[in-house]
Amino acid sequence: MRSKHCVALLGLCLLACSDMTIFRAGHDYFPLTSGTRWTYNDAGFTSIDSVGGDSTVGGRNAIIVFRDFSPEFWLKGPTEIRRFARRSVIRAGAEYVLEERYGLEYQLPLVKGATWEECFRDTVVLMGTDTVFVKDSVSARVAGTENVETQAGTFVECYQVDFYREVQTDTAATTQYSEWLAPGVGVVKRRTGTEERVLTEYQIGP
Amino acid sequence: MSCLLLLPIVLLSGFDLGGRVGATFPSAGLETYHASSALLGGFVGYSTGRSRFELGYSYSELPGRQASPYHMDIQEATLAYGYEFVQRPGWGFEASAAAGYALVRRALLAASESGKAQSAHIAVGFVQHQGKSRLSLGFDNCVFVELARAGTTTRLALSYIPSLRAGVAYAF
Repeated sequence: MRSKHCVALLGLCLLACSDMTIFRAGHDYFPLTSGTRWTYNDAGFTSIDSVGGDSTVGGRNAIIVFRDFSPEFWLKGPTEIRRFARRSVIRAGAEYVLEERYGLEYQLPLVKGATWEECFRDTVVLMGTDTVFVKDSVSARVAGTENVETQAGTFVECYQVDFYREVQTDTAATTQYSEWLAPGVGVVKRRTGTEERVLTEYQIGP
Repeated sequence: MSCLLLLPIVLLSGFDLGGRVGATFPSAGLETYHASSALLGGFVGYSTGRSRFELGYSYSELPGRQASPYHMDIQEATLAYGYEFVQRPGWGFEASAAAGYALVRRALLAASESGKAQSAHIAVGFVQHQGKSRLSLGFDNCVFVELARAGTTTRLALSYIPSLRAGVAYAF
């Protein structure tokens, strides 16, 4: 009887020595399957994101992600995830497109310490004389892994990704935020300054 | 007559030292970011009758998909027991079970993370004995076992990686 306990204890000790590296390698941290739905508590307000299907946008077959019922278009491949960005200004009743492209969001697979960045620059001439300098850059770093507790459950082995985004058109804006991505679930927490957007409910599509 | 029957057993007993090559096929989610790869390894074995004990080492580097700079290296040490359930003079079929310990490293350009995992193997294969050589060809099912704890939550993770292996050994 004692030997059985010893064997069980040894087995548990050996298992405790594992650190889930292969588990992380085999999981999708950003599932974009149709029917997936995430509900967040966004600073006291409820917001819902969902995956709705696909559509051809900008010459590419993109996945439609509704962010609070507003459609966004995403591309997902084995090495990266991109989101369609379109910025425009209206001058004298005419629309001028400043930026229209799939911008880099995540570099895959996520690995601790990985960094990526992308910078889009352009100069757009409006009405023949007025010029607008456009800059849209993102840089990100996988800061590490941690377990995240939310109302939707406890998520183990979440990757924390820190972002720095800078957008400049007529005005300039910078944003710094962190996201926690859970295996098989996606973003479970997002922190911008002191504000948090935390997952309260989710459903992963078939 | 009995001497003739004992002869194969005497011939098949003893130590052997060899190397193996193979192909590893990531599965159960691992195939999303990892392509198949070659496997290299070595082993020391001891055979007695139908039974065989083996201490082995293997290395495989699973590359990322679409020419990604990502790769995952798995170095594993295993201790195996095999039983030749079909034994004929010169050849047979062997089933084996093994326990292992793996060092894992994932790297993407300059970033990397490393870890360790336990593993369990179930394998079946063909073996051929000729003179002092031992040739083996088989299918290995490897399950990596990992455990994560978060507060009161404990999660057991199993990752399945099958492989085809061919080995050749020199018997002393």
